[in-house]
Amino acid sequence: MNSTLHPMRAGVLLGAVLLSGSALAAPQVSKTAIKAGTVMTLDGDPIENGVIVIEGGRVKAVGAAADIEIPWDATVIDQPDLVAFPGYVEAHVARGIDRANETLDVAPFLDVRDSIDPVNFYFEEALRNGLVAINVSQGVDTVIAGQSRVVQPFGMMVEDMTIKPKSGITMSAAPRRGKTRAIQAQLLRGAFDDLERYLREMVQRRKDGDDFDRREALYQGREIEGEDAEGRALQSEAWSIEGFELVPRGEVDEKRAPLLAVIENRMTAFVYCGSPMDVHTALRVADDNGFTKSTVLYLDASCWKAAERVKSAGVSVILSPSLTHVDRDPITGEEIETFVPKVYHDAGVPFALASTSDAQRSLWFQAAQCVANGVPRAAALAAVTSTPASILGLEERFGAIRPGSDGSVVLLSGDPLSVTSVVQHVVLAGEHVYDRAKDVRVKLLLDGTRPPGTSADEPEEEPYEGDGDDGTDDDEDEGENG
Amino acid sequence: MLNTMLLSTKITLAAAALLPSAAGPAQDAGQDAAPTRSHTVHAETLYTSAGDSIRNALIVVDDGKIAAVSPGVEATRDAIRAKVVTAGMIDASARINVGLRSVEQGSEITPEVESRFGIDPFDARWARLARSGVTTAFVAPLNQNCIGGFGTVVKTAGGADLVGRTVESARMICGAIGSQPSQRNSPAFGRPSGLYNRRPTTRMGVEWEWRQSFFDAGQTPAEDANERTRTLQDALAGRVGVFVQAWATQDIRTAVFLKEELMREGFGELQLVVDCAAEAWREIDMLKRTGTAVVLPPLPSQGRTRDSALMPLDTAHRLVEAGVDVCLSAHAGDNPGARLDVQAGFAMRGGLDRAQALRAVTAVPARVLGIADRVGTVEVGKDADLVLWNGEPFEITSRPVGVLVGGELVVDPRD
Amino acid sequence: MLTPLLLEPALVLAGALGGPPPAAPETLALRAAHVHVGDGTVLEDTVVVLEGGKIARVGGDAPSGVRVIEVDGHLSPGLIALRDGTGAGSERTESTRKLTPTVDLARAFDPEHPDWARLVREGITTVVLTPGSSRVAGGVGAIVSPALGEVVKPGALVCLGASSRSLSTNEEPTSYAGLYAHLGRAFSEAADGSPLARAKAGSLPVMMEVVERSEAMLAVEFAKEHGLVGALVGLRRADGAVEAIAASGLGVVFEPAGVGASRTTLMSARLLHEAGVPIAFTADAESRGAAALRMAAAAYVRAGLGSEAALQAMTHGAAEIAGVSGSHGTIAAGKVAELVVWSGAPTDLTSRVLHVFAGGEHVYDAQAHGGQEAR
Repeated sequence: MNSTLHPMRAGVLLGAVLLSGSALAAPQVSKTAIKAGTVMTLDGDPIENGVIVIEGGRVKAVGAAADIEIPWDATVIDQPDLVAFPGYVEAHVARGIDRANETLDVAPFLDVRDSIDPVNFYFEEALRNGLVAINVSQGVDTVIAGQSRVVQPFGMMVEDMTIKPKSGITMSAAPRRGKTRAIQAQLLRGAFDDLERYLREMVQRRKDGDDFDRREALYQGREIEGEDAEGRALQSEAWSIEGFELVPRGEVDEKRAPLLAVIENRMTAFVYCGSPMDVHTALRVADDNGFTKSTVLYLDASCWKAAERVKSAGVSVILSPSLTHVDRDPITGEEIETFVPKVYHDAGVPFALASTSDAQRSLWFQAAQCVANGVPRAAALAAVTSTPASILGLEERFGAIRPGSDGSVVLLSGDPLSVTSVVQHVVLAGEHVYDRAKDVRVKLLLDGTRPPGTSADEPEEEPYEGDGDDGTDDDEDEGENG
Repeated sequence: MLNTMLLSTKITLAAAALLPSAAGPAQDAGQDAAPTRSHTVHAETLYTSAGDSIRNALIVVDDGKIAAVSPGVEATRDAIRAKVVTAGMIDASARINVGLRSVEQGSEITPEVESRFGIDPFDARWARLARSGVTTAFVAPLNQNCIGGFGTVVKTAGGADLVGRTVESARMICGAIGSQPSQRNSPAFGRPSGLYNRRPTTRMGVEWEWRQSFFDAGQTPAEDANERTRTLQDALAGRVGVFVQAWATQDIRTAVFLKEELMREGFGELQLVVDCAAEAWREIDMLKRTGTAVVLPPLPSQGRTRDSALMPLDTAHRLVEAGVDVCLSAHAGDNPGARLDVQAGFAMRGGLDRAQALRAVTAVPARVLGIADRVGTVEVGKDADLVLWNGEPFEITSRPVGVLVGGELVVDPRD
Repeated sequence: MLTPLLLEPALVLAGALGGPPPAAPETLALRAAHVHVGDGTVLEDTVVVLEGGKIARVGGDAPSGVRVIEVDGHLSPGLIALRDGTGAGSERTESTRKLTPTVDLARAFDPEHPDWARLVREGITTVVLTPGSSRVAGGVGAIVSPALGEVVKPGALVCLGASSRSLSTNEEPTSYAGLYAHLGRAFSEAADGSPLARAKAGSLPVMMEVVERSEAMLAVEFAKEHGLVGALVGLRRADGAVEAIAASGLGVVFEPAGVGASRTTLMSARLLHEAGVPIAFTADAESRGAAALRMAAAAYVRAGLGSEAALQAMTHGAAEIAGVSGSHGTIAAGKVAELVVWSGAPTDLTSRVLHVFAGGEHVYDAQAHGGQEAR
């Protein structure tokens, strides 16, 4: 793993956050109590003058100040003017890694663990925006990409950041750059056909007494013992491979194992669709291979036209950052705008929102837009908290502040969806990791100054879009396809 | 006030009876004629941009103008209801021109050219702008020349005839100081050819062109002046404003220093507006001293904008607090989906209160562009350019749900 | 409908020769089952008398002692192609200057060019030669007769370019504002009696090239300001601008469009026609082939333009726009004897041109030529 730290970057990060020392060397049972003017638990009504007690990284108790006893040895964060909030969950993002996309069409054996750069500016920005859990994935310019990982935006090593490894595999039904839909669909289907052929051949080799697979596994450096030494019948809802139970699971090639996990519904498949027609391809592949129930569709705005199909499949969806889809009447040239989340809300499809690449328009902005366009506030908040948490299988840990959930709390200056509210503090698993007052970079962004003796390492400038404009427009202004 | 309103309504009805063209909203259903420009709008809260907000306001629109505004009145049966109503927003830097064909590059100083030739009334971006609550926009030629020509103020709706949509405004010549006017003047390789073999290729050259042209104009006797020189002389005399794009501190300084230098030399005083003034916050005193108004570009994602200019979140706030005239802009022509109300929201995030943010997209640009007699506030006699909101303006949880431009219901909240 | 024509063999022989035309064309009469007048009306079973190169009479009985040709098909005026550069090649565009308003396209007319025969075979008897589209004021268009090899009217139209095609990246004008500044200056500085001065006085029509609607709106405004009459040429779509164009009194000339052309373009012709705007089509035979004119008409008919309206656009409408409706464009007494005999309805693409008369002469006979050269 490449964990080289830019000295400057690291300095900024350390300078920007508080109590970093204690975060690196956690005591046996850390106790933190947060007193806030309002606690929005998202698990019932907001609590005025609420208290949250976090022990060992988990919420021990939450309630009105009068009802909760704060342990004598807890670190108390007392913010009577702030609003405590569970924090935002990003369901699928290809940032914080070196390069989003792989040149190989099918590479499910890759793991973003090897790509995540803990000091990447993205994580600093995510912390500032109140994100507490981020599913970092490879990009969608792929057929089958590597395995994603849920991380918190704080920590010096990927292992420190990790909330959930191997959280899913990213696939795409939309054509890769320069490819056609036909080849894309064929490659996607073909990957599963290949897997089936491979598994059958394995069984055959086993029956023939050929120990090729065992030797390969040992060659790859894998020990085959315990569970791995045993064979199990294929747990698939669509396939049957006679005699597969004869094959010790540990002998399955590590390059094939991730897709085997997908068809056995042990691994979530995040399938990107760039157009409504891709939705049909994606769901057919999932259905043919029996993994519909662990499929999550990552949808371009145009896919709203397939909302009924999505609903009948019973899958959850993640909506790409551009929330308004614009169609042009071919005759009159008039534009017809569709606010996409409303369509899924009305159809009863669970949806999660994704951030734009603009730091000013993080998940709060996306959720607020939903409210403006008629999605009820509770549903809009769910789309950036509990729904993404449950898509990632983390519904017990994130998305609400309740006993047992992760002790991740964001303290905001006001209502989470108000344009004037900002994140003042972030507590991750009981550790106070962000204090806006000590954020060097926010100071620069806020009023153009830097505290003396600091040097804010600025991110690479994005090219200014504009000028020389010819009136043509493309609607993928904020689309994440990186 | 109530009496006045009732009187006005009566007059409206009387007029409707006399003139078939002024048919009331009740009668025109199903007719295929030109859209009616008479409506009644009821606001739970009306922000007039001209004072305090008004609760339960009834706004009577007659033939495209605001005929009456009455506080504390219940909605009439035919009224279009809205939670909040504001004046139509004005984008002082909408940038909806036809790109390179909007600026004449045969010379770097073409002040006499009219930008209206570079506007396409059929551009889909106009309808988008209108839907987003922007009812008036200032369009300058592209920043390819040092001085590109006269800007044009147009309504964002009202048909194909641009002449009918144009709002008579202060005459302003538009140009740029900084890296843009020099960008395409030297060939990528080899010897320069054609009209690209020209100055300027640097910032210094850009400034030189500006100064040279004004000095020449200032020294030319009126009887020898051609159209170009006359236009520059009008600018020196203050009859024509100067709308300069300058992002970075050094370029803002150049613009202001040029103005002061021309004053010292006795040539006259330029009426300066700095567009895209991302770093105006670094030179607040200078802007105040010279009475220079600014138009701010959209807030960048990471602080840096064009020319590496740093634009912090509190830019608008600091300038407004210091007493500088601040207009916000969204550059909707450059970025589809860019919204001026979101820029106003971010300005609030940076410290403006809602009333200040509202003025920065209504009354202030109206004054700066010289169109305050027609637009920018909700007052009797003004154009009926109204935005109907489903919540507090500039919150991201709200949006324009109804828009009237010149009394015409461009977006109907009842749809 | 493909009933063979009853033609006297002598006529066929006379017309078959490619030599110089006879001194005075014969007086003759055609009796046709369907006479498409060109103004939208169709006369049934009507006699048309040709005399001295002109149409002497339409209707009544055939005069005695005159040879009568029975046409068991359709008769229409010769088609008029607005904008063409057949045979001129690069000679029609003065490429070093954007404004050469007094240049006369008649000088670029090559009467002997073999390609003209293709136009005649398609029933085109009148052509407006124009400068290339990339100029701002490329010259005055000339009306020529490809069948007779004669210039019918030099200096007939002022040709202006007001589309993005006239804008360059490396010479002035680069902008619409610059383009109109140049045009405005050229008009205001035009010497008395010059083409631009005559255009300003309304005595010489203009053809202004525009492609986009925004360009059309600017052209309409300019025409209004300078009192110009004539037409917009090359407009792709008119929806939303119909009212303004109709009010301007200008006609609209569409470029050849295949059946695959944008529906908005095809619909625009109908919208304009219904609003009373004269419409016509360009030929651009030098680049698109001689059949493009009638193909275009068929495409517009398919999109809802009436077939008589389409024929009118190729005859009377075009003549109006070119300022020669007094002599060309309809089958009426006093007009030049330019007629086409068709095997079926003229706008039906399956119809073939059987005979062409120009200046009263029988210049093309499909049977005699076997589809080969005319003249």
